[in-house]
Amino acid sequence: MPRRGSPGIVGPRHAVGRYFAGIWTALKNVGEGMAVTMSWLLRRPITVQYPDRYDGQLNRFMRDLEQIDQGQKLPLAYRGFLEVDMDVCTACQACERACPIDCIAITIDKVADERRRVMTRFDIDLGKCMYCGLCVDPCPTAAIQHTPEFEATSQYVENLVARFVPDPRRPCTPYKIPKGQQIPRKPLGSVLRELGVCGPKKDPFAPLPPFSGARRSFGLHAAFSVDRSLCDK
Amino acid sequence: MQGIVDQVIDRFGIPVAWSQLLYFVGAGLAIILPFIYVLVFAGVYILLERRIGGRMQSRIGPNRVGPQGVIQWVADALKVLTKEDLVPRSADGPLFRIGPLLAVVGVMLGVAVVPFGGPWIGADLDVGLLYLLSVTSLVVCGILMSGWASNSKWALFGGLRSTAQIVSYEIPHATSLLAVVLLTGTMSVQGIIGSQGWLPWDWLAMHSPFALAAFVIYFISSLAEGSRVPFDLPEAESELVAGYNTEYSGWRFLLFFLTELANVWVMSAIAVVGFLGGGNVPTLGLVDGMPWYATATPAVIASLPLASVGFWVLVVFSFASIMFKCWVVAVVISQVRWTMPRFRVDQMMLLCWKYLVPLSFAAILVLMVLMRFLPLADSARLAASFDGRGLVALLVRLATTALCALAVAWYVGRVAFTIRNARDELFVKFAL
Ligand code: SF4
Ligand code: SF4
Repeated sequence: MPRRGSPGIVGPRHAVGRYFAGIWTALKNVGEGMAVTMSWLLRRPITVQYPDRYDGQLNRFMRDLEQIDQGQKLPLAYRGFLEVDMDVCTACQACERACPIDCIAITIDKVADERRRVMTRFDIDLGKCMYCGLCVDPCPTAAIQHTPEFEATSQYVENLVARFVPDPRRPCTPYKIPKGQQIPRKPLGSVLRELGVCGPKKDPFAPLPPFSGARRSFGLHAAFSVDRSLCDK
Repeated sequence: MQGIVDQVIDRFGIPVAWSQLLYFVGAGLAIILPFIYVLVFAGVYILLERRIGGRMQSRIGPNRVGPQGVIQWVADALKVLTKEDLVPRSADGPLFRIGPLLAVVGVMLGVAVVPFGGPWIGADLDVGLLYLLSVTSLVVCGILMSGWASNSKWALFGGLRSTAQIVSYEIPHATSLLAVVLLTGTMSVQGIIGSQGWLPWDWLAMHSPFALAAFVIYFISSLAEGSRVPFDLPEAESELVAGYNTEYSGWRFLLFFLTELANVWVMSAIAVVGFLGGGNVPTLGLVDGMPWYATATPAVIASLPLASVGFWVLVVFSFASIMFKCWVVAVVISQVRWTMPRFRVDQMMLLCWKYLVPLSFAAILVLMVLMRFLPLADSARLAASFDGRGLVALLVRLATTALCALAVAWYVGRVAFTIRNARDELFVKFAL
């Protein structure tokens, strides 16, 4: 004798019961589903109307969202433009080696007479970058990070090269990791906005900055003579 | 339309020679106006559907063309119209060309018997519902023809699926409308409206729980007839590229969309006419010699002289009433689209043959018996007549209405529950 509820042979009463129970379940579930869609109809859409309701300043934009929508913003793991806080970069070049498509170009020079290494170039070609994040992982000081910035429209693709050492005659001194404490990193996005790569004041049709044409090709090593008087410290 | 032309001729004393011309003009208007209405309906409905769908998916939807995107549909239509009307080389040219025409003609013929409130209707045929069921079968010919003639396997699959689906669902579709015909004793669309009242419990769907079941069966099977989600197997874009319209472009492609959207209009209008009281309005003492509770059925409205104020007021209210109901049903159809996933082919067949067909037959059998005991008349008159049968019929109607009201209340409760319990990070805010 088959057990009750076994999927084998069922009695006629059981079958009829299942037939009508099925109809009831179907109607009820469709009603539930309709209630869910109707409830979404009454809610505010998640969409931010990008060019209209966005004034070019993501943080403000996010703050607005925060006020309106209780904490929803771009996810913290959002992989936007890369930026490097040169104050904490150790010039280890781990990020340069990690990048599979060679977007990062770091040039390290020695200051003559002194046994001191300086960075005369730290470029990231944001137009070439595929935002994979492989460069972020090996960085010992979290100097290189993805920001939530995503807007850098430009008429010239050269403008998409973010130069974190803006002037090679004023090279950056590598950071030495001190024992115990580490200086805090600048807020995400602030470096890029300072450089003018993205942000509200950026004019997409601005003329090219002076160095861009010559330094566009990464393979060429631009020769600079480091002016010691300009070196900081 | 003819009755109105008659009245115009009477009133202005138009000579016989000219009256023929007037009949032609009336016939032309009766052809053109519903056609234009359906074209506009298709555009506005697809815009509404996209906006509603957007909100239901937490998006905004098209809002760029015109204020709030109101002329998006014009832009879309123009865009498709500027495309070349391609016929693939290996397709069967003549069949390929007339397929979409047949489909759209099938639906547009059906529009002829769809009323627009009051006496306005393209043609109030004595066999209205039968005519509607017959001519809409032309759609399946058009779809199969274009699927076959495209000489593409996706199109052929789509056409065959569509045929299997529409032919199967014809049965519960026709059977549930048979319930209407049985109860009212007429197939004329205006006659069916006339045998219902304006109060919810005077509607045919509330005659008894079995009439309600017939309504639900009608609704489901007309979704399948019109290939609406969840029965959009013929154009399942994730399985068949686009089904029977894969190979089409330009205005022929647009005709398939027009077919589908005009079908939505026809199916919601017939649902309203057959089950939800059509365009009936309370007269509220507008007409002399009628008690306040009497309903202004199309016959009553048509009997009024054109020149009377009551006529125009009633026509406007009746138009508003039928439009409101039809649009509500159409929006529910579109909400179903954004709620339900698509059926599998076997599930679609199972639903038809194991559930809808037997249930619709059971419903009309029980209704045949019930007709003996629950007369179809106005609830007010039923109460007034106050014999046992009238009272029982009224009570059954009230109970059915209460059942529906309970279902609606449950639904509203579930909506409120879902909103209350939604997580904060999902943007819970009332937009209203
Ligand atoms: S995100 Fe990927 S592609 Fe971009 S710089 Fe880093 S490693 Fe290279
Ligand atoms: S950004 Fe990080 S990984 Fe790259 S050179 Fe500087 S410290 Fe090294």
